[in-house]
Amino acid sequence: MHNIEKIRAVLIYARICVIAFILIGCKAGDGKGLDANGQPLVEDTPEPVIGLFVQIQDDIFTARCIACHIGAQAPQGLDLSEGNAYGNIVGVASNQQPTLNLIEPDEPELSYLVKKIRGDEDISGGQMPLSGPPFLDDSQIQLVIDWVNDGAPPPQVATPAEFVAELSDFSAYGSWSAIDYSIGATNNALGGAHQAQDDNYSRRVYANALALTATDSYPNGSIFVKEVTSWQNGEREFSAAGGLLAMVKRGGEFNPGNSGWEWFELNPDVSEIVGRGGNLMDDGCNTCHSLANSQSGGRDYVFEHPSEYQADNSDFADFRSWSEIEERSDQNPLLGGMAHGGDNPDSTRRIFKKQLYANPDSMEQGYPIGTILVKEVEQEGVIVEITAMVKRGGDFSPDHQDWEWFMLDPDSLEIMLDDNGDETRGANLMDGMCASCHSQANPDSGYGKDYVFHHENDPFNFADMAIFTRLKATTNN
Amino acid sequence: MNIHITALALRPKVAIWLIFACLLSSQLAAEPYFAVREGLKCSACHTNITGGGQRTDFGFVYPQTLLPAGKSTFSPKLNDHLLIGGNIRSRYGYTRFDEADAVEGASTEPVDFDNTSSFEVTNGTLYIGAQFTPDLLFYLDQQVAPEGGRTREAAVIWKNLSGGSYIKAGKFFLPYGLRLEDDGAFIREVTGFNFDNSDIGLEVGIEPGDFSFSLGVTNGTQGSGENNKDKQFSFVGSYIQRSYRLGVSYSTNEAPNRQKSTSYNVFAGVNWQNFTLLGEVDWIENENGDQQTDMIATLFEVNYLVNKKTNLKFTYEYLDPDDDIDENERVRGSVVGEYFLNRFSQLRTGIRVYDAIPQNSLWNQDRFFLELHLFY
Repeated sequence: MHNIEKIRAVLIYARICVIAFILIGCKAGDGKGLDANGQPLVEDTPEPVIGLFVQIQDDIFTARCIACHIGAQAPQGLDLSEGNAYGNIVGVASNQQPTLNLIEPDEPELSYLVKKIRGDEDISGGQMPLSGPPFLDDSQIQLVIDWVNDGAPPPQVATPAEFVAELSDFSAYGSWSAIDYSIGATNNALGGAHQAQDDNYSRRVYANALALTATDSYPNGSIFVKEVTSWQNGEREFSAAGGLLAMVKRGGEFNPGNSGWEWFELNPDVSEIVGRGGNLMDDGCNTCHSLANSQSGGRDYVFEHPSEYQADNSDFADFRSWSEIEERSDQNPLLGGMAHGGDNPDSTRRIFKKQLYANPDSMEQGYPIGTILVKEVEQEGVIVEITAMVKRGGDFSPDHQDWEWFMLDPDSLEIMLDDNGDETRGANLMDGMCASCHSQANPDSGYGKDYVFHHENDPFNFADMAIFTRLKATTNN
Repeated sequence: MNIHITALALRPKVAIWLIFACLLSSQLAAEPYFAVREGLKCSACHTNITGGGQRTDFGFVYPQTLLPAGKSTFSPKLNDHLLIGGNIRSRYGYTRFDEADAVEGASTEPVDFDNTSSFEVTNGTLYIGAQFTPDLLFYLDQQVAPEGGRTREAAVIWKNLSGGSYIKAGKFFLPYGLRLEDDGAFIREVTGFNFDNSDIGLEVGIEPGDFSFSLGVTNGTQGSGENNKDKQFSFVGSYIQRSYRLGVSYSTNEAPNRQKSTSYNVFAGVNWQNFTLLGEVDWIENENGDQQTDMIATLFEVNYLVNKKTNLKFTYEYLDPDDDIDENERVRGSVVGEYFLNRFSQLRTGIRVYDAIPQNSLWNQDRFFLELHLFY
């Protein structure tokens, strides 16, 4: 072997040794500061949580299952991590044997998960956990069976006798679940509160984890935070009149006539509690929120979230006075040969947006509920078609982001009636063509956001940010 | 990440790229070690291009060149159009658990486990390959033991398309990393790319010259019903030489409720005299809403060919289940002996030692096993 080849061989194997050294140079952790599941010890007193499912989560799912069953790639699509497990198993059909639910409340012998951890003869695949033996011991399996026999209730949180909120309880609200995002008067009870009469302002509501667990009245410690914001020069701006508000279920002897709720006004940067109490805003909070009940939507002083806005003829009557966000006469290849006069080169299409500052700034929520856009098509000086899309919200059309589609009469500007006298509106108007076509407006395609295509004067749904520069110049002038 | 040598106390991502750089700069150049030892692609021995399962004609003949067949004239090729195959692994296992240390202030109590001793059928599988044309194949990989049956793979495979490419459609194991037999290896267990999980979709690939590329587009639900419009993308690419190979993998998958998993790895294999070395480093990012957990899993495996019938395997594995939490790492070391009784059977025995935080008994165990593996 030549010297160069020898040197090359030595270098190659030296590199192998380096790699091997790195790979085997890692040792097990000493577990300092961790609990038995390898999670950091919690210094503060944890929220007291009770119920068999909590024990199942800690002792079985977290201890044994989430080594594999976690995340978007969990085996069988079954994520058993804390906060996800319950919703993924109770009343959910098994993938391996779809005729059985993973957990069938009150029926352990019909619950496939019970069969899998027992290793019954009639399961598909192997007994779980995959890492067994050891599999779950008899007492752990019995724990699951007992919970199923109890009706498989969700994790329950022990309610503190009284929860007195501090500023720190609100500091992370932005990471909580955003349960509503709306604009305009989406709820009759709103009146003029929370800038409901000003189309420049949107409302976003967040709920803490405890509030999300409530099935009837809210447990003490439940917190809801509401942002009321607009946009100026591309920057989000909180309303000067209650831009950041909160309601906290305090309980105990506090505000007994109003279910123990305490009301808060906070600085927008959460640096200070500006005001708090049981009768904040001269009792306006109590008065208004007491209307949240089964008749009006909602319960226990909390209105129904997400909101739902059902448009009627009055919503479209003055659409030409709204912000015109685009007028186009050129051929638009996205329209194809059919929609909105796309097959006629002499068509002019105008799009009006009721709330110019309705901003689809969140992928999950898109445009705020209550957003209305109207498109009219003019050919040879005559309006030949008017269509509208309204972000209705609620659970109206979950497959299509809860948009409702309308056809309007070009003369009366009212919702057209079909041959049966029914209004031409709905989630699947035009045999679903509206929703299908507009679904292409998304960030992945680059055509728009939340079922709304780019329009040059929509400040939040334009292909670039030049509009902000123009808006800023307009404001400065 | 906890590393013995202070000078190498690297961030996991840095370690991955250091290893990758080492592999690249060296121009270095399943059981995946067979493929590495022979310098062959997985598709040389397996009907399924990405490895595992039924063997090809070559894969069936290969042991004959090394091992005595006894008096058998058995052939899994029933006729020109139908090929069968199978595997069964029966084993005796004994597991000893350490006693868990109690932790003051912990909200969860350590749990101790009794030692176990058991006979098991860890896996029994039947394969059927129906060859409609020389290039068009229906392939079925059906698990029949333990417990109830389960279809692991059922796919149409269309080979020898333009440029040597292929298409696979149906249910199949996703292309990603080294396809080790041992699903308990950290790189198999925590990535979810193992023989317990397959998915439904389409795979395309091409094997030009010394390269092999496969891309899978699947539902991303690990075989359960689709629950969203997003798809999982899994990719593995390898550069294969007689004495070494080098590969990379990537997978991304979005699920409802703002969940997303992204995995990527580098892997390599090299021959040196009677030694065959394998290595893989995986980085896994699990997003759940605003929370993200980063994991790192590694494998280092040395195979020593004692003689034609006997292989000795040493492995060392490392798992950091959450990069943001210190001192929670786990390691696993194995010594395994594999002896071919003949070209249909193999005796395997070994010890696997698990080491982790002392307060968890389950993660601190020693496993002994003796396994009879029949294959055809």
